Amino acid sequence: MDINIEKIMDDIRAEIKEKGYTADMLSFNEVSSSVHASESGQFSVEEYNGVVSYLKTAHVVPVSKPITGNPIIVFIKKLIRKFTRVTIRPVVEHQSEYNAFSARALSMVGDYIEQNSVVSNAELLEKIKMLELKLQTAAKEIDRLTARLAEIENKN
Amino acid sequence: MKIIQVMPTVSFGDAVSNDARAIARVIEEMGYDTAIYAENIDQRIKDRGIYKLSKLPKIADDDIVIFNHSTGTDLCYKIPEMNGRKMMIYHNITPPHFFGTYSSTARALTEYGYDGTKYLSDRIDYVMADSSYNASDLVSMGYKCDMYVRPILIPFNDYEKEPDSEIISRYSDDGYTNIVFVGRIAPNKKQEDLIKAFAYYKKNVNPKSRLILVGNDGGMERYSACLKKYAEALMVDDVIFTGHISFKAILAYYRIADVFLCMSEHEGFCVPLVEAMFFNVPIIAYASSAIPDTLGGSGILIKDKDPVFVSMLIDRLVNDKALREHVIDGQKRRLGDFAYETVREQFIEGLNSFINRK
Repeated sequence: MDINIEKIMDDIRAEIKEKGYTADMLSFNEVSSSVHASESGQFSVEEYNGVVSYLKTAHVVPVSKPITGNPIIVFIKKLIRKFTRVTIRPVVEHQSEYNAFSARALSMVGDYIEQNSVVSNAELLEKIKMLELKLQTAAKEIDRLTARLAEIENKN
Repeated sequence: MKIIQVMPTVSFGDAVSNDARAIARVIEEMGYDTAIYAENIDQRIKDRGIYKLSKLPKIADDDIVIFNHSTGTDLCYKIPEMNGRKMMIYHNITPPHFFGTYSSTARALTEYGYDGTKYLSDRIDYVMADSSYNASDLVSMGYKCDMYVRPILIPFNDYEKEPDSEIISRYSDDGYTNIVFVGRIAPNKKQEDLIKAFAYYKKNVNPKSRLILVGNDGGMERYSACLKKYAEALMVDDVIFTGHISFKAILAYYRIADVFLCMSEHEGFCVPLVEAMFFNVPIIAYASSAIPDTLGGSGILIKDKDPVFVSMLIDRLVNDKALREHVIDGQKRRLGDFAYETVREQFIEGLNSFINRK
C-alpha cells in the first residue's frame, strides 16, 4: 500500500478546518512569567530552601580527596600529603566549622522568615496565581464544550 | 605525528563526550598516537587515554589538534596559540536567547561560546560538522576553511543492554499510549510545546495516555519548575518528569514508547532521534535546525505545532497500522546511515583528507 504522509497530514488539517476544532489553551508564557526569578532580584522561596538544604549537607570540607593515576606519582603525592597534613588539617577543620555555623545561621534566617509569615504570604500568592491560571483553563474548556454541545444540538 | 583531542569537559553519557571517546578509539585503530585532554573529566569515565588539560604534552608542527566544540570555553582562545594543525569538530551551541530569564549563567556561557566560535573563524584549518545545519552555521559566522559533514559516532551495542524491567512492567500492557521525548530539560527543546499538545490529546482524543519527559534538569531548575506549573495550570495528569535516571532506565522508556514526539527548536544533531529509530519508535518531530538532516526523510516532520493537529496526527500514527509500519520501515532504512562502521569510515575519510593536505 502506498502511504503518502504529506497527504495524510493535509487530510488532518482539512478535517480540523471542516469541524472547526481549535485549541484555546493557556500559553506557556502566561505561566512562566508568573514564576519569580531570583536572578532578577526577586526572592524565591524554593531557591532559598534549596540553597539552605545544600549548605546543610555540603559544609564539611574533605581534608583529602582520592588520588588516582600512575602508581609512582600516587605514592609521591600521598607521601607529600602525609607530611603536610599537620599544617593543612587544622585549617580545613576550621573552615568546615565556619561553614557549619554559616549554614546554621542561614537556616535560622529561614525559620525566622517562615515564622513571620513572609514566606507564607509569598506561597499564598503563588497558590492564588496558580488557581487563577487553572480557572482560566477551566473557563476555556467550558467555552469549548458549550460550543460543541450547541453544535450537536443544532445537528439534531 | 600525534592526533590529540581537546575539549572543555568529558562528561558521562553526553553525546559530545561519547563521540570524542569513540573517535579516540578510531584514531588509535588508524595507528596514530592519540589522547583526549580536557579541563574537566567526569570521575565515572575510566577510559585509557583521557587526561587533564594540564597534562597536555608538547605539540609538534605536524601534529593535529582536534577541538571538540559545543559550549562557551576559554579553549577557543587557547587553541590558536597551540602548535600543530587545527581541526574543529563542531556540535553547535544553543543560541543564548533560548535561556531568557531561566538561566543567566547558561545565557552568558552560550554567548561566550558564540564569540569564541567567531574568533576561531580564520584560525581553524579544517572543520568536521555533525550536520549540514552545523556546517552552514559556521559559514554564516565567516568560516571559509574546508568542511566535512559526518554524523555522530553512536555505539549501538550499548542499546542492546538489559533495560529496567520495573519501568517496563509499570508502563506497558495497561492500555495507555506512551508518548516519549528524551532530552535534557532545556528551553531550546521546547518541552512546553510537548505538554501543550499532550494536554489537548489527553483531554480530547485519548484519555488513556501519558507523556514521559526523559531527561535531567540540572542547571535548568527554573525552566523545569515552569514546565511543571504549566502542566498543573493546564490540569493535565500523567505528565511524567523522570529527572536524572540510569542508562538502563532510559532503555526501558524507549521500549515502552508508542510515539517519540520532538518539538525542539534547536538541535545540532539530536541523538535521541537515532535512538528512537533503533528502538522502532515512530517519530513525529518539528522541522527545525538539524532535525530534518538527522531524519533524512524518515519519521514524520511537521511544520506547525498546533496542538489539535499534533494530537490528531499522534492518534493516526498510533491507530493506523499501515502508516505506523511505513514510518518505522523508513526509519530502519535511515538508521543504516548511522551504522557504526559506516560513520567510522566517513570519519576516517574526513580525517585522512585533512592529514593528506599538507
